[in-house]
Amino acid sequence: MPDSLTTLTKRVLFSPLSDPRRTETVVSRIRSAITLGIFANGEQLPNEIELAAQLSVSPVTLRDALRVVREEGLVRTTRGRSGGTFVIAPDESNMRQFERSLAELPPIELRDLLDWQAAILGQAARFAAERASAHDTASLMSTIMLLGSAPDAPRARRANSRFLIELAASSRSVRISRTAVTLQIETAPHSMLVFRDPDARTETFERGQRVVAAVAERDVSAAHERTLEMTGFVGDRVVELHHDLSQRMLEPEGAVGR
Amino acid sequence: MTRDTEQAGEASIDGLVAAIDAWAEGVRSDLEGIARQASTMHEAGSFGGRVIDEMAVRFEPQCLTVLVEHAPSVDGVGLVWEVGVEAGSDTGMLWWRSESGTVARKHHVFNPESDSFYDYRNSLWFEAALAADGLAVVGPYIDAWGTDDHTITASLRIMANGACIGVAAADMNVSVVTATLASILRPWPQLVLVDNEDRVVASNFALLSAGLRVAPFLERTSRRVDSRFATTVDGWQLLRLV
Repeated sequence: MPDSLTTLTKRVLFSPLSDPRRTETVVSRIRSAITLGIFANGEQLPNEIELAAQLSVSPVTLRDALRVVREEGLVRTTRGRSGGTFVIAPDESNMRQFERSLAELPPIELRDLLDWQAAILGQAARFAAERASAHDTASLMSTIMLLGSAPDAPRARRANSRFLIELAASSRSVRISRTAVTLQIETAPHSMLVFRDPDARTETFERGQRVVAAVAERDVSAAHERTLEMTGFVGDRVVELHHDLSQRMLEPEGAVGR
Repeated sequence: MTRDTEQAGEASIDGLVAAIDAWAEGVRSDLEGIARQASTMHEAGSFGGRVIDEMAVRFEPQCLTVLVEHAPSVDGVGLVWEVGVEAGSDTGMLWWRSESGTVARKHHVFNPESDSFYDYRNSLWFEAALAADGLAVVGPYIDAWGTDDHTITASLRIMANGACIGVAAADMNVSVVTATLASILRPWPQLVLVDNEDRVVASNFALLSAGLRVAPFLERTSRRVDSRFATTVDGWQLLRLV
């Protein structure tokens, strides 16, 4: 059987659902995978039987979910021997959906998410400074350069996520790496919103470069501190954005995304 | 230490190096078999992306045999081809993997616009094979876009008419391999097997698990490296800690 769900991001995203009966839950997972750019434009989704098995849902539920995302314009389906379901790249309308979901997040949950990120990635950076290979450091540097040259929010978000996952992998801990992937899936919609601002991309890139320098110098404390500065910078912008969006939602004519 | 015991120690280290080489010989001969098949196909003009289906058919029985015969030591095997790379013209990867008793072809994502992009040309095992004279073994490391797990990868350049046309490689099961190598090392408790960055491949020191660098351990325990002994695996050395 073709094995197209073996990369960790997809495996986490398509892990078995706790409530496999709800089509909307399946729709939400597939919508997230596409709108975050985890699947590239034109990339083929796993076949229906494989994907249904992965999510622990019935093929009927999956087919219903795919119909919804097809109607939303996120996938197209072709028939025949080389047929299948193919991803259509998201556009600006997805940003409004991310804004709505961020605005609906209670402030205490947002803070909790950022605290979890700081705990995991801060410690990952400490281990990385102690354990990273020269190859790890070179790879971190080339990935952060992708963030520096990213021309738009989706590519900046992808480079940022890849950088933080590589940093976690440099800790040589599989559990920390897997947690970093889960974290990226949860925080990616928020960082995507922040990276619409080119200045935010530049600021994050510069902080990322300082993280790589600390890892290369095996400066454990600096790696920890600079990783918190990098993720904290994006986190603070997310919190400010959340505040603005929540305020706008409270205004009678200012509902978000209208 | 008297001169006699010193000589005896060196003789037994030769035996240890031979034991490590015997372990490496299994995977080396598998990868040489894949490389021979690749060279033959290249000479016959059937090699590269335009004949990927034919290549998959030709390499599959060989790779599945490696996975089945060497279970549980080897859990992934395959090759990368590189033809006319200077022009960026033709490079790709064929890979088979064994997971939970199921052996299947693995399809990586080679689109740089995807989160799952597997950039094998910049991977450690690929670069190590190109730089090595013979078998290279890298890891344990976390292959974040490949296996997503702790991995040790053995790799070997594929040559045809004096030029490199690709790399044959095998992912080794980290638990099995590090335990096997640690058991080979057991009669020499002061010796640690490390890679070219002094990162542990196998050891019998409780605090020196595979994948860790030796330097922080030396600092914490006030030990030092007394001697270094070469092995036949590219980049691997034995360190004697005192």
